[in-house]
Amino acid sequence: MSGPGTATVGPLERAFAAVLDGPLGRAPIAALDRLRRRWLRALGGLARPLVRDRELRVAAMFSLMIVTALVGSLVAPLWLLLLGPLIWGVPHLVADLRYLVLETGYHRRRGLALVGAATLGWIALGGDLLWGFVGAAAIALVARAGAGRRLVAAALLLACGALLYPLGYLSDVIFGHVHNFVAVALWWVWCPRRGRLHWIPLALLVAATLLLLSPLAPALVAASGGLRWFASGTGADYELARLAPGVAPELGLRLVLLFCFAQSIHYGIWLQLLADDARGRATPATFRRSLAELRAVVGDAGVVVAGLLAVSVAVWAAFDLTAANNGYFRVARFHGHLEIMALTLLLLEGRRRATADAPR
Amino acid sequence: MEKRTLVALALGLAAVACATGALDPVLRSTVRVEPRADGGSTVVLTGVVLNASRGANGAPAADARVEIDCTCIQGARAVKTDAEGRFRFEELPPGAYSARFVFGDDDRGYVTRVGPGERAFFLINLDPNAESMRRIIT
Repeated sequence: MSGPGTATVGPLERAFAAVLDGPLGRAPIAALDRLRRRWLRALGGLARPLVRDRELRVAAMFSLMIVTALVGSLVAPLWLLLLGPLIWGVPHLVADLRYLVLETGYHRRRGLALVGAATLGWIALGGDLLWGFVGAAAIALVARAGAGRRLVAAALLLACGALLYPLGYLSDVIFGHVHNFVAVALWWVWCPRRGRLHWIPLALLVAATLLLLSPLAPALVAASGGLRWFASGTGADYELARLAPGVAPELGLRLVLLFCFAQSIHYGIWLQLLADDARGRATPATFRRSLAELRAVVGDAGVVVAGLLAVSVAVWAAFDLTAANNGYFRVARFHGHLEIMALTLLLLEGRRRATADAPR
Repeated sequence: MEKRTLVALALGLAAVACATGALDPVLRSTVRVEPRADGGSTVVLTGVVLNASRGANGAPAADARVEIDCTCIQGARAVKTDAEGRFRFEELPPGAYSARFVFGDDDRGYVTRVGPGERAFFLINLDPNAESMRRIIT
């Protein structure tokens, strides 16, 4: 049996479907669903409003995510920086492609597909970030919007590229910091929100960001001893050199902690919040249902290939943690520009989901 | 075979190629950290920068700028490579160093940790004509 909406044509497709429908594909999903049922039972009376009300659920999840990421960034930032991409990196890239390209249908628009594929391919191969902004500006010009808005968007994107270009390799570092927050912007504009609950996590996010940028953050991480736990070959000074080169150590440490926090939020948005907001039904899906929906969109081959990549990164990490981390980042380099292109289109052409859930 | 199966397989192969740097010869730069042969206790950062542009065939990159920085030293230090593409920083304290290499329009950064009595040897390939092939490698 294949996933919903997938046609098993050749032997390869049948093999992929067999993997996903076999014990290897079913057992972990069944285990996750059992955990989910237990969790909902443990929540007792709280579960019903969370299950029925998407806006409440998303606001609660986002807030919980912010608190968890903040605590993690202050208690074990160096491990979080290293392990986060290895565990959530590949799934979040799949979510990027799924929600920003396949579910929006942008891949069916020839102009967008050509410009997007050429630009992102070039960036993935090591092209200068400037070309990502040039590609995004070209995307803005072919968007379905008024000429004035398209020109303004293209000019702003080119200006961003021009600002980063003279910075040389530092532009990658700055772009890495900024792109974590692009996901927040994407989540914000993804669908209209009739209630005001989403302001709670957004306010928390601003508060957490300000806390991490304040002198209090290094004091808190020193008190927790969080900088003493790190993998061989890394450490606080390694992350300072990687994420805040040329910045004074005290301020640099704050930037490292902010990156750690924002990176966790970035993954959380792609794997939970945006997935919840993008779903047609207001109630949350089981893991079984989520997998079926993923198979319908990306195909069995897409799911198996993504699974193999995720496992490969984990196996690589078992042998060389930092090399695997760097390898993942080389693959992921394109996705920041994919997000900028999608954000540009969403802002110019309108939001993804036309109607919000029923107002309370 | 379904079209999206082909696309998924192609993307998977591209991801592996990107992760390993197989498609970009410039990415095959290496940093090797090893104990100093002379038994010294300080850190040495040394290496060679090569011209990876088409036609240069890995000739030494003379006059490439090499800049290092670390929280363990006061301010960044910079040198130019010699006619053989070589550079050397000596008498450094142990720490995590960021090293930046600029040759023509190519501009790359590396980060490596070097312990007491160790030497980091950089073998760096840069393409001076590839202004659009910048990337940070840590």
